[in-house]
Amino acid sequence: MQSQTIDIQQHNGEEMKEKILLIAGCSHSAGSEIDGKEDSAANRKNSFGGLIAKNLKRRPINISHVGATNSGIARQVINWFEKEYDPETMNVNVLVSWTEATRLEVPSERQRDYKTASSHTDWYDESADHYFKVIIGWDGGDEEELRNTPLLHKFMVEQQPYLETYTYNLILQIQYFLQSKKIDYMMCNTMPFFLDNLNAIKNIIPLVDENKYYQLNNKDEAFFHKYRELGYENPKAKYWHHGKEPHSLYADELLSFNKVNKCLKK
Amino acid sequence: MFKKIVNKIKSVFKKISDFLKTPYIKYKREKEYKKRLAELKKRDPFIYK
Repeated sequence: MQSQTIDIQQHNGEEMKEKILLIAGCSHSAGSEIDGKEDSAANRKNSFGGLIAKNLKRRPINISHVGATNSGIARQVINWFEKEYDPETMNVNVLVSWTEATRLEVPSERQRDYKTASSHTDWYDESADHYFKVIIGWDGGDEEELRNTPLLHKFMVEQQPYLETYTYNLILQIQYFLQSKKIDYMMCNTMPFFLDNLNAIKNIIPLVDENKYYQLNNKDEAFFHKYRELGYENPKAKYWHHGKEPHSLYADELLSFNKVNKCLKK
Repeated sequence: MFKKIVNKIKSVFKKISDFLKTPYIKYKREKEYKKRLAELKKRDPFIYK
């Protein structure tokens, strides 16, 4: 009788909690350029993560950063839980979208401000401001970036196996982090990984829970490249990000996967 | 003794040959690097300033 009362109390407690979908990733999961703007509330609402949250009747907290690296994405998740998560009042599920593995984040000599690029994020991970980002298409702006970027570009080109292995380790880090907190989650790729034929990576992949990772190890199914190959082009985009339709189609793909694997809950 | 002299001469020739080939090797490496850089830029075309 007493245990039944506790069960009912626990059940009612769960019902009282606010249902949240935490969405972490790069510009693709922020819905960048859907409406032509780098970041906007409408972009985040119409992003695949925003559409999934709507379908699951969860409040989206989209903390994706424009230009995020995989190490930045992992930090977004960990820092949000550290600073914002209240298990007494929140019922949180997480959608993590991994990006291009060669992007780097390097500890910076000075405080930076990346918030201006992600003006509509629902929560800003300030730890990002202690790094500078190295993206293959950008040679750097200020003195520190210009000094370091050529060498780091060389490293990115020469050491793809190292960088992809590092990303798989980040995936495991977040997988075990969320499991330890008993948080339901789903992972996917907005940008593909390529080097699945390396023995180092072959040894890691079985450790990743494939029932919670959409199209694990399938480079042809990553969001950006898949819909680009299918011929989708966003006339409003200056930097090639997808428009509304690919986001909607990808949300459907993820929801179908969720129907089978029940990663995220209503 | 004779073998030692031959090996020494061979080693000198190898050093000269490597020295002469250096610009070509550098050029080939640079070309390969630029090719891979272009491939990566195509793969991740996004620019964030």
